[in-house]
Amino acid sequence: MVRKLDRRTFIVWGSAAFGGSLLIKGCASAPPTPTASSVTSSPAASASAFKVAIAIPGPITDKGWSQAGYEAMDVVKSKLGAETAYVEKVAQADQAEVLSDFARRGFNLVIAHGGQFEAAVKQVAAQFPNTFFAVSDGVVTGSNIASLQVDHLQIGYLCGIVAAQMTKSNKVAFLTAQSFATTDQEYRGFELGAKSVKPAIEVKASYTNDWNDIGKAKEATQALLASGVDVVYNMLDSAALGVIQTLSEKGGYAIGYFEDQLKLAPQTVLTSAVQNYGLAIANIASIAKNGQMKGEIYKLGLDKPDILRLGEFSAAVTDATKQKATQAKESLIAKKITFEECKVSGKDSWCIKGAA
Amino acid sequence: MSDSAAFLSDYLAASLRLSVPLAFAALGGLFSERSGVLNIGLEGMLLTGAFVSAATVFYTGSVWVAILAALIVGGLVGLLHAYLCVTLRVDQLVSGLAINLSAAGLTAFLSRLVFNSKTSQPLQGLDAIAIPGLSQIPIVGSLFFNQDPLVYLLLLLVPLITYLLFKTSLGLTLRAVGEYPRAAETAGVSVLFVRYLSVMLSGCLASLGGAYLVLVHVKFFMEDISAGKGFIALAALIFGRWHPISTVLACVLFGATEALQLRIQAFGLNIPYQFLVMLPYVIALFALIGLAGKSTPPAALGIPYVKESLDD
Repeated sequence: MVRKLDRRTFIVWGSAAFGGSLLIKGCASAPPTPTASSVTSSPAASASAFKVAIAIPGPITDKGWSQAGYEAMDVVKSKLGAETAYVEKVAQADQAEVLSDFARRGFNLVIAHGGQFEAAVKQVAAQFPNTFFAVSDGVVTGSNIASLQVDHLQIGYLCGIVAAQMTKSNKVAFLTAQSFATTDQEYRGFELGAKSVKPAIEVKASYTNDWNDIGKAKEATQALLASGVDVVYNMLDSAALGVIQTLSEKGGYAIGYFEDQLKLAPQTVLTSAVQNYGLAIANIASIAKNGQMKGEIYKLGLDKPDILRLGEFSAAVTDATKQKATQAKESLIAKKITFEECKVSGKDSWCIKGAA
Repeated sequence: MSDSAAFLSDYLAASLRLSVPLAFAALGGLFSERSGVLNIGLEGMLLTGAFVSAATVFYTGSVWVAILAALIVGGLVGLLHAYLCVTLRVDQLVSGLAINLSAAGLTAFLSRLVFNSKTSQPLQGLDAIAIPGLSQIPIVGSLFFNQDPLVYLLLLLVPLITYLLFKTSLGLTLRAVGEYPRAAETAGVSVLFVRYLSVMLSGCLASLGGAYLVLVHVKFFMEDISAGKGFIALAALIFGRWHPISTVLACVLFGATEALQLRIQAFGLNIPYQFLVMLPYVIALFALIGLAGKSTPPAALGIPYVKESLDD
């Protein structure tokens, strides 16, 4: 008897707590809820209000890739007056469902934030000819698919020059989570840049398999330090904090990624590979709003310094290094240095075109 | 020569750091499972402990209050699991899963309320305390005697739990409840009470693992910071055959292979990283097949206990 009452009270209190927290959450964020009418009359809706949605792979608080995608929606909202929506932490298995849900709800532009969405976009896009899909850091194109691509080889090249100039042990490392086209390009650019300064330099790569696991990033950095590396170029999201922290504790230089990370540790961070993806996405959205979107790859290189550039240099960086980096940047923009696909010891890679 | 000694001590220290959260969680799981309650909620308890200690240290600035808070909240999560499994006799797997899922959701939601600043500043951490004399021994000294209080606590807990479990009547009671609760009840033991206590202790210990992660290892809080460590601890518990010493050794094996694979990558041996990332799990699998032999869980594990007199 007593136990039965217990069970019932538990259910009552449990659901009250759950419902209460939902209510708090609902009041706190109050997301725009699309009405059923916008689903049925999507052509009409597209005429009245421009709607942009983004599917984000990680948590929107990762201080990196996912957060940039989320913040891009703010820019889109304020600049274009568009209606926006987002879904975060989209797992690989849910990608197609999330994307087609956005399309069904009448969004004009659906951004898939990350190259890992490519297959899902290809699968979904054909069913929704009235929606334009854009893949951040992708290489897919189609009649209603475009890709946004930062020139990772270029920015990696510049970071490689800085790293090679600053290393004392002649060992530098590139630390990221996974190996795929984007990170491979970044790594190759870094390697080529470093070797352009010191041909004998050793360039290592290490992978943690997790963009946000700070602990693992810390340990990976520690392992790199133990192997003699003294400059680590990190391409991670929230885990970047772990890399910078370890390097500042144990001594070593970091090159930041994505945001200008100099302020995190002015003694440790040499410079950062700054990417303003928010602006890049906003630009794409305004192209789409004007109806000029084409199914092509929109390349974003160093010639657009508001989107891709080297961040501020720390006090430790010598003038000679800054000069070398600036020279290289100018040659890259002037297309005096360009990259081409080639094979390096049997593997597909990239080389400097017409390297002397 | 001194170079390789430095490398060795660095490697061992990394192994230890990676093993400690696992070991706390696994010892927590040991208590719960020895008393007959499956605990796959270790992951959620670890995450809860990590969040609670991070939030507490963020607001109060006191590491010790943070550890205390982690212990209390961890115990409360344990209490919830015990209530669901022991009193309500909910399926123990489902209850554990529910704890994992709600912990992941709640900590993510709350962490956005607590740590909403754009650049996260490092939290105050627990400092290492060197034990005079002993910490001067080369390699071993800095490894075991120049650590933070949580590591010392873990080093104390292992023999203590082993003694408690196998040499005291309290331990006998605990094991009896896990093996044959009806017999224990006949001998005048309250099965309910023992299970409640064990599962709450389990929550406390797993939560301490999370506190170590935040206060010593990482000094940040991030969503999903536990990153599957609770499940690895669970594997270590099975691999260690529910014995405290072998369970902790299993955790050290996981930590050491993890540290090893990161070092293999750092030395640039030409092995695809995907294989190296797999390494800790592959080694555990081989160890399970080769060394562990037949692993027998406590006989009453996962079976809710029903007192006959109360059956309705």
